[in-house]
Amino acid sequence: MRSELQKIRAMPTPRWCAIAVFATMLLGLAATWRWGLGPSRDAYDFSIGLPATIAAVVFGVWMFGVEYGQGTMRRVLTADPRRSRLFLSKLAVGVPLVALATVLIYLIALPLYGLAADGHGQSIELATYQDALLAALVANVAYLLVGAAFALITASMAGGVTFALVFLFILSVFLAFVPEVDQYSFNLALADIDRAIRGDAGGFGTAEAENPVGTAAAIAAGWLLLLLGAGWLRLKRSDVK
Amino acid sequence: MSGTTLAVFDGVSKSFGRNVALRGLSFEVAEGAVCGLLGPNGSGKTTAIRILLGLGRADAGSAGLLGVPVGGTGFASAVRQTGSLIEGPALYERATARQNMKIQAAARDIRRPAAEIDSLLELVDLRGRADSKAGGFSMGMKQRLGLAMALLGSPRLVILDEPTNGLDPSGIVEIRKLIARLPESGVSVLVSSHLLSEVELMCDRVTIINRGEMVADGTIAEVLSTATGEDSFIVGVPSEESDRATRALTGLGLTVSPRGDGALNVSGPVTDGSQISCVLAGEGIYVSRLQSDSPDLERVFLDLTGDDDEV
Repeated sequence: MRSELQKIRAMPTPRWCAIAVFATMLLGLAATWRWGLGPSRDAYDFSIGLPATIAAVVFGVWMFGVEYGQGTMRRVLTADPRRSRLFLSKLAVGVPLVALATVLIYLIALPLYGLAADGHGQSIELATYQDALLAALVANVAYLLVGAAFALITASMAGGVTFALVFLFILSVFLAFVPEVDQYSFNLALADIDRAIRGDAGGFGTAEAENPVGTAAAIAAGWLLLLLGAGWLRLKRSDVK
Repeated sequence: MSGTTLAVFDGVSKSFGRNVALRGLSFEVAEGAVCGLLGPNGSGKTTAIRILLGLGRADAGSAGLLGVPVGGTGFASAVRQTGSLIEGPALYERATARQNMKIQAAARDIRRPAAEIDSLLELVDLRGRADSKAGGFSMGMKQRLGLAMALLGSPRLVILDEPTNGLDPSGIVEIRKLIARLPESGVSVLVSSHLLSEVELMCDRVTIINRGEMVADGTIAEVLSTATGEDSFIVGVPSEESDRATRALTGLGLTVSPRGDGALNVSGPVTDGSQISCVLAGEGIYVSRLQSDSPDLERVFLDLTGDDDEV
């Protein structure tokens, strides 16, 4: 785990992910200061929530993809050949780190958005904001795991990013609109969890596709297990170039 | 050599689809030795090394590292006592040389590595560039950094795959000297290379593989002794004395034939050039050039692998 932390400190991608989220937060603050929070907290959902989700995917892919992209997997495995341990140690560093980063950015943003919205006579309800943070925590960790899984499945940085984005923003959305199987969409499951946490309607997909939170959590976990399992098998069984 | 075997291949076979990379490869690396692994491109050297380090799986046969079967209990510990440089240095290009070393030290569970990192960077002449990004290094500098990373944690065995790739002549000499010195500090070496003269200079033993099979194995002298042909010399004499010199040397039972460059090829039961020079001087013929043309590793390699194009 120490070496994973060293990589995060030494390499630019994690920094760029953090900088990108911070920059979009500043854009959101500027928009809030000019126009207010928006009808349904759009300002922080779009300036923190969505960018943080994409950053989580990129970081998830990077955790494993960097070793393939830089050709360093052979060096990593000739330092310690235990592949399952490598798999677990990367996740053991990545998951808490993304959770911590999500909490931090929401904590930093709260007073700033409050100040920016104040000029429009708006305020942020703490309970609503907490729900948004909790929903973001779930989504970001899930998206990180999807990114990590596709980096392993494709054994590639570029392939990992491409397939993770295709899965999340095309296949999963497409599945949400297919009758009879729509309730098994990964994105729809995450939307159901989000809805359960935040207690509002919204979401997407077919109208009848709403699952109870327990079922939605099971579907999301099933997808994650399937993808991570496939990635782990690829890492465990394939020859390393 | 202490006689302990650090690496062993026992009938290892490996195929990639229809392409057979290794066919029942068997050889050993003894402790305290610098062993050379030679073979033409595509002969299976790197595949063998990958299998030894657990990066690839053998289809048949077995390999062992530091007395532990590859993938068996204790293999992780054996790998941690083995440094390696396989097909290029494999660096994090956006990290500095020192950061690369720190990452490797952490991966190998080395505590407080700062002093060792400094001394290894000094050893490979990169101390002054320790805080420069590896991506900006020349191929030679990257290779030296890779070598320093392979030496982290005082390994018992260092496995180097083409370590002089990309190095200039002075870099090659430095790396060769460095590798040759490693056994003094208790490090054994398995080095694969296609630079036969380098291997001849730095290795105690050599294993030659061709098309995935071992074709020769032993000390350099043992492998050289398998070469066909007798000891021979190139002898330069004044052109007007060429016939007389030929008669004098033929009289000793040597075989003499003219070379295209005016010198003579002399072969036969003679092991020391001074015998030739002495005979010719006795005839009043003074030698302008006397050069051994005995079999070297390159000739043996070409004989055994039957491929003139690969060297």
